Amino acid sequence: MNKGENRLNGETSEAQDQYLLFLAGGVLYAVEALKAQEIVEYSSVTKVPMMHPYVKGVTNIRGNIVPVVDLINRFGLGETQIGDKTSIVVINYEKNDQKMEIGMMIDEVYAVDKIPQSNLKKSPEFGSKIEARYILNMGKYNNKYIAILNTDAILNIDELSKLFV
Amino acid sequence: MSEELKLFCEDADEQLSFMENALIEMQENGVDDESIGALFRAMHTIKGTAGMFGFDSVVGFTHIAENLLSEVREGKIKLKEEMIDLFFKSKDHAQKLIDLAVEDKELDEDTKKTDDELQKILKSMMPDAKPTEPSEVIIQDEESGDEGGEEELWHISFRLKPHFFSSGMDILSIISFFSILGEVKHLLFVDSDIPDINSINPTEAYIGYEVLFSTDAPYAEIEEIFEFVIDDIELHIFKADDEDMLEALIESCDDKDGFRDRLVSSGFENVIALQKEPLKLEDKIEKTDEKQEESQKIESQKTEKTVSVKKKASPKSFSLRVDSSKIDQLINQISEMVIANAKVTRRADVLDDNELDESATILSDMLEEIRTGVMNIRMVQVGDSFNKFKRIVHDVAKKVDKEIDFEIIGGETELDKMVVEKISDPLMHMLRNSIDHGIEMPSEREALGKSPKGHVSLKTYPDAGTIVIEISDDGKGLPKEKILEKAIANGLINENNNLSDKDIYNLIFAAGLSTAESVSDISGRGVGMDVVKRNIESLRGTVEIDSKPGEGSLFTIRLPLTLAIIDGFLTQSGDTKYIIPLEMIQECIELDDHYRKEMDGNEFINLRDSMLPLLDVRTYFKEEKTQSKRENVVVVRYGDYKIGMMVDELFGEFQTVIKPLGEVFRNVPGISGGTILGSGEIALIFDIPKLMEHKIREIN
Repeated sequence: MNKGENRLNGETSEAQDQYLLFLAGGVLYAVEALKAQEIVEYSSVTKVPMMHPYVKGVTNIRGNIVPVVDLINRFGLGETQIGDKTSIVVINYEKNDQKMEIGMMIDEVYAVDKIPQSNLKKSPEFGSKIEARYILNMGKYNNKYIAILNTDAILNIDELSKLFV
Repeated sequence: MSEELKLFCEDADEQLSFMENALIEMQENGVDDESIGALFRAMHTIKGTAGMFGFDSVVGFTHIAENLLSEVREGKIKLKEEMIDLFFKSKDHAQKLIDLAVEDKELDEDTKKTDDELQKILKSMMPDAKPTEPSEVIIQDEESGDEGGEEELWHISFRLKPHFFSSGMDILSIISFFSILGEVKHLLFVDSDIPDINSINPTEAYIGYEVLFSTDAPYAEIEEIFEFVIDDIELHIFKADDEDMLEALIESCDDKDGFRDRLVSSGFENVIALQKEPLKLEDKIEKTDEKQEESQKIESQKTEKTVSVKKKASPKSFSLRVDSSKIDQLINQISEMVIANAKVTRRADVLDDNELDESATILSDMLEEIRTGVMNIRMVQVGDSFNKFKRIVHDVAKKVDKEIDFEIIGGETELDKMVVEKISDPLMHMLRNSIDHGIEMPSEREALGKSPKGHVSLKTYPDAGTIVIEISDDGKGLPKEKILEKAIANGLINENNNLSDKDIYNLIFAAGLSTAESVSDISGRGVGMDVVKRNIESLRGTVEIDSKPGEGSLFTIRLPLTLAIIDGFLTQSGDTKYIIPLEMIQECIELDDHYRKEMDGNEFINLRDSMLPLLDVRTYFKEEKTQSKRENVVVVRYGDYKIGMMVDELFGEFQTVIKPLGEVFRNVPGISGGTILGSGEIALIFDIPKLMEHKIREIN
């Protein structure tokens, strides 16, 4: 392996090592920083009828209509309490060449930080508070294991779009 | 594909459709000069642009077709019925050649064969190909042959119009063209019109040229030198020995003698001859043999013709080719402005500032005008695009041995260009169906006492803010029993169903249902009607069928006028704000105690002696019922249906920019999108047709 390639790998993995850490329902979670498009302050969300309660509705992000999902509710752990620091993390969701933005409602942003590859562990088969399929990996951060979320599973369009009546 | 190639394809498409339209026009209303001219110009343009890309096969073929057309245009050959057919074939073949050339493919066997055949036929039509046939054509042709073979002296005079420089053309490059076509004998630079240095306007052109030019090229080719600047110069081209023209030219000059002197001193032989023998003028004309006189006549006729063709075409031909994405961008920006202005209006309301409110109102009126204007850019008459169906109908009818009388009504109706393009394929499919399955064979029709010719019509008209397209035929109608049978066999419906006739007919839109006994290459494979429906729905339109056994079928397509912005009416129900398309609203009424008492548990009211079913938006969306102080009913109409929608609050008109809600909400029935209000909030837009459809299905 030559040097150039090495450096290239180093660079990509460095970007991949970056995670957005945030609190939801009082618990620290992470998502890959590359998946997060932006973070906006929670403002008015318009309810869309006949949707599951975890689909909070739609909000206006710079002229675009973006769906908002209540993360905690999606996990089945209650509802996000709206406060001063409530935010929406806009995730780039991709499925079958379709790109779209979906917002995840969270308590507050904690940090953007590095979790090296070596600190990642497979998620436990059971025993976790949230469904295993929602977890991509467990990452060691400040000597504690936090769940790195699988946004593809959480924001699965086919599930989100099901009517709730 | 490169940008240039894309442009070429677009242009070629357009030219081919010009050809088609001209041919159809002639097929229907007889041969006319305007259509011949259009046909010729289109063929010529394709040849020219294909040449720029080095598409030799296209150039080779179109050249031959163009030659024949040029003869037709000059009246040397009469355009007969069968030639129209030939040109139809040539047009199709040119299309094929272009497609192959663009894809950089070799001609396949079939295309090659067609190419040879068509070229042969086209060539055989040329007058010089049949020298044995004694006719007028030959005599004229010999002359044109003479014209072509011998070098002749032409006098070309042109003055740049003041705005010439803004055309962006370099006059020198035009002059240098002369040497390609022939030899410039003398050139006089006319600078006598240049004003005094103090009154000169540096952006305007004041100059002109006189050229004595020797060439074997005919008039038309000389004129072609000026093709790109023809509107920016004053051009006179005449034979050098045409003394009348020369006199006229000199007479038109302010300083006649000075101009004449300068021409003489520059060596213009014709002017010298004119000056030396002014008295012999009459003699000379007498001496001129008849042939020459004849040729002059033709020449002047030709000039006249080109002029008249141009005159006719000019009001139509001035069009601008704009990338549609630019218009979309503009619409988007206007949409943002509409939203921003809504914010201002709201603010003025809050501040109770009358002046600000007034300004905002003026601004919103102006925005409305701009919006309509921009939308109008996208609007085209459907007739231009629908005309191509005539040919398809003709072809299909021929293939299945049926006689069809096809009629297009309301071709002048305007519709968004994108909608027209997208609706074209579904319409074609439906027309084919009507002819293939709907219309009976002529013998059957006669036995039934119908005219042997089947009647199919395509009618377009605006109705309540939508555009309606109807396809009707007087054929045998849809086979109700067969559709039912097939649908049950396919498991689409249960055996004991209570479907109305209309419902049964609509089953043909379900995927995989074809009742045709035999699959032809025209229709009947059962892929199609479901695609047709999907395509129409993707344009926010609807399609309905009505049919009477033995009398025919009627397909009614309803399409929205535009896709991006609508006039909406803002309402609120529960916590959510909703927009109802204004064009569908008939009136708003308050649901007072009087009505409530009358309802007595029913879900309809008596509105001026007609039953109006009510739809409570909250119950429809399965939301909790909150009792508001005042309940309002918005009466909406779509097609034959009329319902009252119960909402909590009415806010009034709102210019609604439609934005998609996205995949997550694709299953919500009756919501077509969202819009952003002045406050930044989002309101949901009702899709009334879908809502009604859903409600009706729910009840059944």
